[in-house]
Amino acid sequence: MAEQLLPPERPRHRRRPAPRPPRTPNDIYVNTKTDFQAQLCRCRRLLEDGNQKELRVHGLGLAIGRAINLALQLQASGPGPLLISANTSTVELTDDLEPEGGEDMEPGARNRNNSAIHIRVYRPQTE
Amino acid sequence: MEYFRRIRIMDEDDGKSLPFKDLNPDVVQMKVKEGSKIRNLIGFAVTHMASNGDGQIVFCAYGRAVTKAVTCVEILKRQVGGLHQITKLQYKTLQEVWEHKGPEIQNPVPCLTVQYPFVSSCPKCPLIHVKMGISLLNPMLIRSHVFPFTYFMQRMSTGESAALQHVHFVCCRKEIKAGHLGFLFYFFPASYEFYMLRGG
Repeated sequence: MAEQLLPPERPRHRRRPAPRPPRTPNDIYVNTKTDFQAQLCRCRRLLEDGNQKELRVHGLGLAIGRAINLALQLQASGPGPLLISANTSTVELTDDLEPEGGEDMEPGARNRNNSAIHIRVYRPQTE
Repeated sequence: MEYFRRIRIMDEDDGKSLPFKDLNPDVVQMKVKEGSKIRNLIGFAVTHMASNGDGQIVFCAYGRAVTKAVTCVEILKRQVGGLHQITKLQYKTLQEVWEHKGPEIQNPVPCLTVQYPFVSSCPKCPLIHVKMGISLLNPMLIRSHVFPFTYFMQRMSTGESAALQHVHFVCCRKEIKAGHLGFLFYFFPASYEFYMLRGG
């Protein structure tokens, strides 16, 4: 009886947090864990009370859909008319590989790409 | 809910023109679905962009396929240099048709047509009204422990007749806080469309 070949085990890895270059009050990083209504209220408050003229909503990976929904909800029910301008990019993420063969082995790192979206929500300029 | 099954989903925006100016009418449109293979999509798109065509391609996706569409576009930009990109975001309206099944009931509803239009919500207003194209006798007050769509389906399955044109889901902030409208939010798939053309 032929031996059943098991797939090689993937090395255990730990994901490093994604880089977040700009962190101004205008930049909203959307994740999938925070309550959607809370995120929406936070953006509305910034536009209404904070007198911000524009917001930049960032979504990475699975949060892309949420970021789009957030921007569209803001546009539809936000204070006054709002415009949306979106762009996409690729973000390089790093995983730390944990060595299997004891402490003698050196830990490695692996890079991978993930898609991201950056949506600018802004008020139209009045002339 | 268990007495109904979804038999058809109709795309109301099907056949509408794309929201881009100066677009070739015969432009290649890649409709990215949840089960589409990135390899197949990219293979076709790269061949098309390399050929002597109009040099334009549109990627369309909604719902959970949006992430896949973004990934496709990013890979295409890396593989084919000198591309410009225009991105448009909008909501999409889907119409679902549900058919009755299960035990015999009095005055059965022949067929339910559920439309998922746009939700409007205002944080200052204590009430949220979600209008849906379904028929029911009275507006329903949704309690915090009831999942709105399930509750609606239960009432319909008891044979409550369909005489009016619309149903109004009325709920207060407590229900919104409890996340019951999240269900509705996730049923409004955001549509995502890209337009790419080769740079001169």
